Parts: sequence; C-alpha cells; structure tokens
Amino acid sequence: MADVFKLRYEVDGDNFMAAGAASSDVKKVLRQLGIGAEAIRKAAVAMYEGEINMVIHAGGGVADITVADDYIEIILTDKGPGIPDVDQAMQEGWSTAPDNIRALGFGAGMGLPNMKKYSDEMKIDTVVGEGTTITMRIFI
Amino acid sequence: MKYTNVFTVNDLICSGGAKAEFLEDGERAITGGFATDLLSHAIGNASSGDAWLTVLTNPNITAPASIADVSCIIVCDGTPVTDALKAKCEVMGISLLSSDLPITDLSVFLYNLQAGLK
Ligand SMILES: Nc1ncnc2c1ncn2[C@@H]1O[C@H](COP(=O)(O)OP(=O)(O)OP(=O)(O)O)[C@@H](O)[C@H]1O
Ligand SMILES: [Mg+2]
Repeated sequence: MADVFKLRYEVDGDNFMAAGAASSDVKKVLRQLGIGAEAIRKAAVAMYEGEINMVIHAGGGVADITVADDYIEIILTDKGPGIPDVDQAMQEGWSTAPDNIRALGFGAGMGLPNMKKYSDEMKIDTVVGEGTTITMRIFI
Repeated sequence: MKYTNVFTVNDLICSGGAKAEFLEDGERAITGGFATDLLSHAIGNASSGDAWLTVLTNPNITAPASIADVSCIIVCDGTPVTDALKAKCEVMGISLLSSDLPITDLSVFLYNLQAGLK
C-alpha cells in the first residue's frame, strides 16, 4: 500500500454562494494527483451533491476524502435532521427543498440518485434528530 | 445532444447567436448541447464540452458547470446576466455567454450552425 492522501473540509451551512467550493477543490486536487478523468468526474459529482445536501438540508457538515491506491472514499457527516425515509429520498424527483431554494435551481430530487449513479459503493447511515453520514467509494 | 460537426465558442459568437459575457477560452470546441434549469440535472447529465443552456443566473450554477466541464454556459431568453455571475465565472474559468433567444430557439440555432459546417 502506497501513500494514502487525506482531505477534510468543513462545509458551511449558511453560505449558499460558497456551496460547491469543496467539490471544486477536490476536483483540482485529484487532477494534481494524476487520477483519471472518469474517476475525477464521478468523485466530483458525488461529492458535490453530498456537499450541497449538507448545506441545504442539514445546516452544514464535514467532508472527509481519502485517496488510496485503488479507490477514492468520500465520507459526509452532518448533525442535521436525518432522513426519515431513505427509500423515498433516493427516488428521483423526491425533494423537500423549499421554494426559495428551488428558485436557485436546486430541488430536482436528483442529488441522491446522482450520488448512487456516480459512486461505485454508497452507504447511508441516518438517525432522525441526530444526523446523517454518507460513505461513498469510487474505484480507480 | 452530441454534434456531428464541432465548432468553437468564438464561432458561435461570430454567428450572432450569443454574445460573450466572459471568455475563458474562445477556441474551446462546443461538442454538444444540454438544456436544463435544474442543477442536479445538469451535473448528472451534461457532457464535457457541451454548451449548457439555461435561464438561471445565480452564481451557484458555476460549480455544476465546472464539474461537468461544459464548454460554456449560455444564459438564454434575454435574462440579464449579473455581475456576481460574471465574477464567479472568471474565478472558476468558465466561459459565459448570453442570448436573446429562448432555449428552444437557441437549441435549433446551435444545431443548424453545426449542420451547416462540412
Ligand atoms: N444530509 C441530509 N440531511 C437531511 N435530509 C437530507 C439530506 N440529504 C438529502 N436529504 C433529503 O432527501 C431529499 C432528496 O435529496 P436529493 O439530493 O435527491 O434532492 P434535493 O436535494 O431535494 O434536490 P437536488 O439535489 O436535485 O437539488 C431532500 O429533499 C431531503 O429531504
Ligand atoms: Mg440534493
């Protein structure tokens, strides 16, 4: 096992305009590490959707990224309201985003489906009233 | 959609279909087009090199545009482009264009532009 590369981002829950900044930065770092374009796209999309969800639905959180020899792991942890029905939340088109957020282009209900589609493994641990942790892996 | 014949951002501006608000790389090829006003729809489905047609103008559109690696964002339908969006596109290195044409009309315009190239 060669070097493992780790990144951590505190994702601010109030700053809408900065939402997506961590994902853009991860994309840049992965490129510098010489990761292939396809894996970078997958990781950046998965990370972006998770980051935005923490901002919109959970008041912020933390993103931990690990780049190992053969995979990129993204762990998103928040202390938001949790997801009461994960199967429903995973459905394309399901969204609880309020109107003012929808007006900005969010709320298609496609974020979690995108995370599933663009990651090779995805696990959601969520407890209502306590928070949500989403772990995703992209193989490289 | 993917275009058969590829043209550049500058070619589109010269054709009069859209005007430049900020140019990162005018010689970048427009290899296809994608239209949506939903950010997750764009990031999940736009291909690298696509022109992204939208009426959204808040700076949040730049992150999906960057990650999807679109060739340019085109704000359609005469929607005013804000300074905040222009500034964010400069920081993120994304070409930003605007057009008075509605999204459907500009889609046809782009298609005809590439179909006219041989
Ligand atoms: N971290 C989270 N904490 C609490 N609820 C969440 C979280 N992530 C997602 N959800 C819930 O799951 C729903 C679906 O999420 P998803 O990302 O698919 O769509 P969206 O965020 O509403 O819209 P889009 O991602 O298309 O802009 C959300 O509307 C929200 O109710
Ligand atoms: Mg979402």
